[in-house]
Amino acid sequence: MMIYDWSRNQAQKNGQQTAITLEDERITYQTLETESNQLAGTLINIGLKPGDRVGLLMEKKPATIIAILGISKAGGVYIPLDGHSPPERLAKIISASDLSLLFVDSDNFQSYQSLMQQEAVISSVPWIWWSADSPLKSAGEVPQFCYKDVKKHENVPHQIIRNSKAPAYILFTSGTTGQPKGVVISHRNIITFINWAVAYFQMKAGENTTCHSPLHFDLSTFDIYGAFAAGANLHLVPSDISVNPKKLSAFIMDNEIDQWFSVPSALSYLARFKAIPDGGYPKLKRLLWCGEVFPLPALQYWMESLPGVQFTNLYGPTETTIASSYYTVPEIPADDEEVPIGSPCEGEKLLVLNDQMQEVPAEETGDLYIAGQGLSQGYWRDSEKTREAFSRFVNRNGKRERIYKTGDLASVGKDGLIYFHGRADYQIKSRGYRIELGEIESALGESDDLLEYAVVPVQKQGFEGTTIGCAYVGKEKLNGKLAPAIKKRLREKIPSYMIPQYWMEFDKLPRNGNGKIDRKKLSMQFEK
Amino acid sequence: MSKEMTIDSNVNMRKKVTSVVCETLTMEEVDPEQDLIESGYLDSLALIQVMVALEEAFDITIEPEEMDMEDYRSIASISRLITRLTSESEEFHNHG
Repeated sequence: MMIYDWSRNQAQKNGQQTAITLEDERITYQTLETESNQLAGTLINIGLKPGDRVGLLMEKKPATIIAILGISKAGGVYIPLDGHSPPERLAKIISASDLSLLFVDSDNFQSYQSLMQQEAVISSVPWIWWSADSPLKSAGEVPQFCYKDVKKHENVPHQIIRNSKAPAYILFTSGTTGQPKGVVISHRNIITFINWAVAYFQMKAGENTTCHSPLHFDLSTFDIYGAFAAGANLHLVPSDISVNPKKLSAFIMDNEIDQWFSVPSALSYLARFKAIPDGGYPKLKRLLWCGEVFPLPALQYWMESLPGVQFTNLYGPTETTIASSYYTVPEIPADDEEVPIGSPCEGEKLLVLNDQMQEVPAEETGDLYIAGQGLSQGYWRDSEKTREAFSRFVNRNGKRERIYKTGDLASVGKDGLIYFHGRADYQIKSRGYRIELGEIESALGESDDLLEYAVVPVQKQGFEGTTIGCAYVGKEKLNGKLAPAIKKRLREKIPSYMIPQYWMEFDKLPRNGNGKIDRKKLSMQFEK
Repeated sequence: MSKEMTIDSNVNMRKKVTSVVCETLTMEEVDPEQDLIESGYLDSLALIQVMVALEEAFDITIEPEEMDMEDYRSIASISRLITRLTSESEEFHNHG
């Protein structure tokens, strides 16, 4: 079994069923299968080898998903890239991935051209024009081939590799020193989660499901393959409606969505504007979230507004593939209630350990480790970081298991469920994005008008979840005037979701007994 | 009210909107017509911050049901929104 087999099976069983919808555009399972076969054949012809990395500088569109399947069928490893990321950061990722090919669509062509001019590493990668229209005139080399050319190719069901341990994709996440880390995920990693999820959520053929997350974010992996495994119609949520509560709400209603999955911030946003219509969404059956804690007032609003809907919290880092635990919330939680991250998904194991790597008693907080089928083989070409995060654990039966240190703090409740208690380090989740505060600080460190700075998480008691605060001491005291300039420079170095929302100027930063910056105190000052 | 005074108060209002928006978003002054969403200054989180700050600064209430994204695209469109909302609340006070 490989990740392209689900859509292949659907094409055989029910080829005329819609596989993907984006606004007025629809493609069937038959088209998905045929075009991804033709692409795989083309890629094999131009010499793509099993294990070769292929970058995707493309929007979330049906054609992009065709590309993902075609690359997989040809034995390649796909790497979704965030076209909205600053060129400097994109170049780091592209260079670290050692790409054999880069797919570019018309929406990203302009940023691709400026990337090429700025970063030599990009111009040496052969590229493919992956839009239905004719390619725009390029400053560099001509594309290897175009989307149109592929349709002339024979429709053969390629399957170059059949070993499910082979890598399927690499996703890059924030790294403490400013160098993003590539998490390598295999076909088997994905298949384990999808098999559990499709059965647990009882996903059915013909249902309408959503893809809200960007493709460089692993929640989208569940959206795509979950839909294909079930034979559902995957509705891609256009990114520009995310800031518009009315449109987002209409999207769920008009497309008769059965299952919604996203980070909580999208849902909190609708709650903030009380955007759920009276009578709710009659077709909606399941609402799933992952990536961060769902702010309680927002969850209460959703559950009150939609009494018949199943609400499920999923938990898990990219390194353990989409999610490792789940909890279906049985009733509207009380104001002081904590929603657990729940129980392990099938094939996974969650362990709460102390410093001596022993399991802690119930209700005691420890470090959360994950073992099981979802575990990534490690970080792309970074054995040091892989060794730090992945280790061996001897379990109660004396068996050695491979475990991943999440960096999250957790406890096992008396009810046997796992509860999340924040981070042990400087990583945060903001709007579902995983952010190393160290990456922001390292970007700040490149400006010479700051004497001191610290980036801290800010928890306001509302709908927004975790936000980011930057405390700084400028070389000159400018009464807050420096912040806009620093913020502007940061925008050239790190993605917009990493830019601090709150800025505070200090004469000097508060320090604790051992001389370290008192980050807790800074967080509290921002939270006032 | 004379025409001159209206223009004058509009200029002041736009100045205040500019300072509230720029302060909330920690940004340098931009062209009032610049699209804040497309240029990346305004996302969903920032939008809520801006709304709260505008409510406080102008003593108005922005009803979620009346929220129209287009009103927040630029400093100029936000200024038009505030002019409308403040005049509505004045009318309410005059009649109340």
